[in-house]
Amino acid sequence: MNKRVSLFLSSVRYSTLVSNFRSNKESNANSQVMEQLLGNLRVKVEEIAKGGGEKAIKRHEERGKWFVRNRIQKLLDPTSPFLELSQLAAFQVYDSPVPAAGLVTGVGLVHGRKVMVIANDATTKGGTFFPLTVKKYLRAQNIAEQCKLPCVYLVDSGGAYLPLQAEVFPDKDHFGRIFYNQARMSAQGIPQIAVVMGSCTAGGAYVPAMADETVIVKNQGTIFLGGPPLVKAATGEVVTAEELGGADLHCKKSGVADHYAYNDLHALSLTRKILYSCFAKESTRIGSSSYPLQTFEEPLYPTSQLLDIVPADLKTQYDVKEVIARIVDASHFTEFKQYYGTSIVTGFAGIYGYPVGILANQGVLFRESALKAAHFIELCDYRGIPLLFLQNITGFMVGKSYEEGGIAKDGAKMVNAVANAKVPKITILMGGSFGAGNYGMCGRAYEPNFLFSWPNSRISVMGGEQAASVLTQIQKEAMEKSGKTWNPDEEKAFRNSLVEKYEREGSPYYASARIWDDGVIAPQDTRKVLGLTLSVVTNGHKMAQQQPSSFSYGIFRM
Amino acid sequence: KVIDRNTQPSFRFDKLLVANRGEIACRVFRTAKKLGLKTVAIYSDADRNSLHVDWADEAIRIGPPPSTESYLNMDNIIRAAKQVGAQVIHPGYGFLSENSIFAEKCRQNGILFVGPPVEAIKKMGSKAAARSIMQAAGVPVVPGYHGDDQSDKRLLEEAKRIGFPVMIKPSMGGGGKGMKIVHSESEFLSLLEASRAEASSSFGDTHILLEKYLAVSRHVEVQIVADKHGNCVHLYERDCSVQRRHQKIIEEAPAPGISSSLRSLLGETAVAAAKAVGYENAGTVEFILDATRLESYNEQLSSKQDWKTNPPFYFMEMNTRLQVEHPVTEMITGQDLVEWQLRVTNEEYLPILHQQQIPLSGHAMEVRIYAENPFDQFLPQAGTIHKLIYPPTIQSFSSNPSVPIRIDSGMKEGDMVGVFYDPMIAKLIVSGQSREEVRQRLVDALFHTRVFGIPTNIEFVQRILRLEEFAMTGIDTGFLERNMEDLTMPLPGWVVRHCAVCASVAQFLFDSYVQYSRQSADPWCLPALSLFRLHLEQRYSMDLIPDKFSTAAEKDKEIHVQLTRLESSEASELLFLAKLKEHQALVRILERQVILDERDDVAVKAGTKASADYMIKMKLEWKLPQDTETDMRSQPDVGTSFREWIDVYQVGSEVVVYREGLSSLNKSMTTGYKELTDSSAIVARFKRSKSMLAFERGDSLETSSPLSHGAVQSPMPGRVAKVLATVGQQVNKGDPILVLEAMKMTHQILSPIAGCVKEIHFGPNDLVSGEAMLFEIQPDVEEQTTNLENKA
Repeated sequence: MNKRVSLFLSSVRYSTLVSNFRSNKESNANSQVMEQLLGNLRVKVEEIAKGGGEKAIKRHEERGKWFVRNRIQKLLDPTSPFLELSQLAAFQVYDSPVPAAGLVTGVGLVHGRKVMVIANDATTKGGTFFPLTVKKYLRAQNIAEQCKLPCVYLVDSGGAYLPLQAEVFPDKDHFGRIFYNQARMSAQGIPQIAVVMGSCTAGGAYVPAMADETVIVKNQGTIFLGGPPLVKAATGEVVTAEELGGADLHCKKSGVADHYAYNDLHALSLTRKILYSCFAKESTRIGSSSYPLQTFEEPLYPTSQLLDIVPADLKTQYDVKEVIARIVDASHFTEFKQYYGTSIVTGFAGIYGYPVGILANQGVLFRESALKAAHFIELCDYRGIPLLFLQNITGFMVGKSYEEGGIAKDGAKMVNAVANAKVPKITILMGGSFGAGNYGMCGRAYEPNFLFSWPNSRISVMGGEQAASVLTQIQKEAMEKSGKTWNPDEEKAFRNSLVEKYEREGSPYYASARIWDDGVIAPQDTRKVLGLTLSVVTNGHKMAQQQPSSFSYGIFRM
Repeated sequence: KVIDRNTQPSFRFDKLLVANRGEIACRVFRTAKKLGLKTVAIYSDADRNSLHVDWADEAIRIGPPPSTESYLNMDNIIRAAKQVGAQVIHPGYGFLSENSIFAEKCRQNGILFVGPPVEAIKKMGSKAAARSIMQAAGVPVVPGYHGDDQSDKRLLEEAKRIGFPVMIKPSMGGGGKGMKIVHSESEFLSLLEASRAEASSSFGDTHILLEKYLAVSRHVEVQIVADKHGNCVHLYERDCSVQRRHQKIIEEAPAPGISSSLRSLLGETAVAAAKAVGYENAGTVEFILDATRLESYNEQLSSKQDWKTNPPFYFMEMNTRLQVEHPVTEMITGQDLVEWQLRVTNEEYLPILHQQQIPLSGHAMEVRIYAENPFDQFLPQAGTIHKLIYPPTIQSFSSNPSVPIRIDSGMKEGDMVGVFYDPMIAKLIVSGQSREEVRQRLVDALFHTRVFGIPTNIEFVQRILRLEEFAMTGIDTGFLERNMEDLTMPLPGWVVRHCAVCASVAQFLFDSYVQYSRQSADPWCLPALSLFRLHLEQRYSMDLIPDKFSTAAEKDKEIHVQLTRLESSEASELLFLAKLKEHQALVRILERQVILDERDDVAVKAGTKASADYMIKMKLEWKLPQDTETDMRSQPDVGTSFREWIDVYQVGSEVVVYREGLSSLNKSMTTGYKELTDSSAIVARFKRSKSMLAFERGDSLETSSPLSHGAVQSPMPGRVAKVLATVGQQVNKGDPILVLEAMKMTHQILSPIAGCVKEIHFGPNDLVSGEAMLFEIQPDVEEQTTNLENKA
């Protein structure tokens, strides 16, 4: 690797962060806890990556078909990274496991350009669409649309999971939205390529039909609105799947597919050739970064030390700048309003040469912190600098004097600024994500372009303990009102069940399974993931050319 | 008489035609240009773009590719010389160089022939005649029978007189054709018949002769040059004992283990032999040296007995031309033999008239690089040289001993090594102070001589040079056959696996280079982030097919190498766990350099090319885990580590790994990998898997062989002699479809199935490479199903 010097920050050398971290008993304990969390996570992900399991994969491969992950590997450039999305989708959500919701989505390189891959896993429930499969599908399409990524659909699915059709079919963000998205992306010039490597029935038939170009694999891929059983039931006609919608029919007669492949390998090779032609036109518009990149240096401190630094217990306070020092280029950080509203750290840095504005929690939010954050967000928005939220927040400060000081009003300014900032936003849930803090720090509802969680993070409207106290308090008052008394054991059980419920629902697995985030990542991978996502989001944004006149307000001094 | 070299007379001719091709034509042109002569090349249609044509001032086409119609077509060559006004013809070696008729035609047409007088060629051309002349001149000859009585009875009697073992040789022969060694009386008659049959087919003459066969012998030859004024000197001897089926592979000068008095005697005898036939110009007198008697003869010398009686060598034959191996003599004497030839032709005196003034210093060796496959019965190979790389310090055609490496070649990248001519690609000549120094330099030079696109004997020759027996000067003509098993031993499995991992690492580096060069500013393309996966193993894999060098276990079977990238403290460091079957090791890439042809590099960066030929130089550090249970993510404790430099080339579908020995970091090597400390260089060749190539091209494996049963590939490179079937013809299984001529033999290529001839891809006289698709037969069964489909 050639050492590259950050031009963006080279003139402000004094801003290099100096780490005070020393390895000690406490840090060892921290890393032990984090290692255990990560170990569990890896085991789970490895299990998920096996799709329907070894037996199912074997059966699948015996039919000459490749497992979905092998297909993706071969489609992408041989050394390409693959940024998988919603890896934990549907984890422990349904009665029986649906690993990764039966769908693998993510960004990878083809011919050096970024593409979005959306691939059914036929070894998992026949690749059928569960409600979360649809959600995951739409999320991937949503990112592709935002970031102008060509979409490759590796289709191998039995269609909607019929027992849950009500949660899959009718609503706005249900099945039909997939084709709506395809049509709209195609209209924007974002290539839509379908590769039919298995069944593609009923509604699913529209994926290849709506695509710009479609490849179909002989003896494997089938496209039809109604499968052989339905045809027989409807008209009495007896046909095989291949006769009804195989490669020969669609490439020679119907014209539904464009390219005839002999097998998976051939199909993926053809797909790469199709994508090549997609990139031929203009190198800057699709798949390449529009942001003028700076050169960079790796952080001064190893990212692996993040495991020692992040406390095992969320309640433990620590210096978030230690985290920043291990994420940003050359550990350079130009802090903004260093001595004002110190419970939030704001400042400029680089990540793989991309300029970013960082907002990182350093404790509970006070009104000054909120004002400082709003000011900083405005600066970044005007300058076209992407925002990075390092979220570890218990919420806004409560209490009479704070309400009196108008903390709600100032918090609203921060929320307002976040909601309206047009620059790319990326949020990392590094710890707690509670209450209105989640809003101000660009939670899911604020549509950050990407949102990832660390395995130690917790998300809920408030902490489990606080919620239990509040609810127990209310329950007790209600009982007392109706003249009943509460057995202390029952009260304790009630309380514990609430704590337990919050603990479970606040877990990153629970959140990620429901696609409240885009995935759970290891702290030491954070820099890499940020580099990859910054490259992806700047693909769709042309901040550098953004005109300040498009703003409806000037900078408010806060 | 001393000739002042500064006042050399001018040439009475100014334009030289070389009636030859390839390296020897280039070599003669070199000297001719140095001497200020204009040069003319002749070429057949196959050589239109050859190097020798480029080198000459003028070039004339003399006929179609077969040499009988071109380089052996005397009238055309004479006509060409007259047409361009060349007053002198150099015949090179081979082709017409020893053809007295051609020499005569030159004379008749008033063209000077660079070679001996016609009579000398004639006399030396017949083995029997030469033998009696030599005997008369007191030159020792091998005991034998050269009589005209060719009856079985007489020959058997003579054989018994000479004493077994006896060699049967066709009189007109050469190149070992028809030669038979008879060890006992009982096998004499059957081998005699065999020899006659081969002689008949090769030379159209069944006349044979008998000679004493020396069990341990050496081939030693003396270079002589004679001028037209009666002067004749020798330029010392060469040893050409390293032969495979009478084809020389390594030649050296001076011959090792020869005392200076024996050297003088050899030289004197050679000069006497030359004078006996009135020889002029450069020539070589070949002797057979009885190695078993060499030692006792040396003792005899020290006891000051008359050393000229009963010397341990016999006259074999005289080659009346410049030899292929003449450069080794040039290297040790510092003379330019082609210049000597031209000066003699110009009727000048020899440049050095006095024998004792002829310098002799150091040692020189030459190896001939052939397109042949030593690991597949030395089958000559036809094909295109895709890439040709010579060792770094070279000087073409230098006779200056201070330049230690000289390459004589008539081939360049893109040339076809065809079936028409000799499959020699180049000669590598190395000089030095001592034989051992030369040997080591040559091993090194060969390691850095890299030919792609076609198998060569480079590695085979390297193995010869590394044999202890060779290094200890124990060479004789049986040396190669004796060591053939060692020399053609396949690489052990661990070496194949080790090199396969190297090839995979190189392929990773290439892919990573391609990715990086496309958008070096994008984190997605950084090597530090290549293969990144969330929580999953970062894998890279490659399928390779070991070439014929490999043991049966690996040969021609696809092997799968998997590299798993491991976390490393340095973000940009590349550390892999390599797995191949049950074997694994840790590989760290310490240094690397990816080199592409400039045009490919530009295309790769522009993204218009995904794959290209490359050369990757890398320094690897290996750690071999003590146990097989290795944690994927952390670096295991290691038992053994070492570093090594590796060069990997990808040229077309070929992947070749060059491993220069290695240095161990940890002296206490684990058993099983002990061999890895071996400092010797290794070359391992692979083919990329068919599926990989098909994927790159966007082909389907199925379409590339649509009827794998009915599609027939050429078993070897050759020329289509006849086509026996026509397209559309119904054939049975085993019916001949075409006749292939290769290796001077004809091969009938049969239909593997019953069916209809769908396509024949070649016509008569077309050249085909090995594995080329010859024809396709539509199977009968499939035809029926097609018909049924059509009806339905």
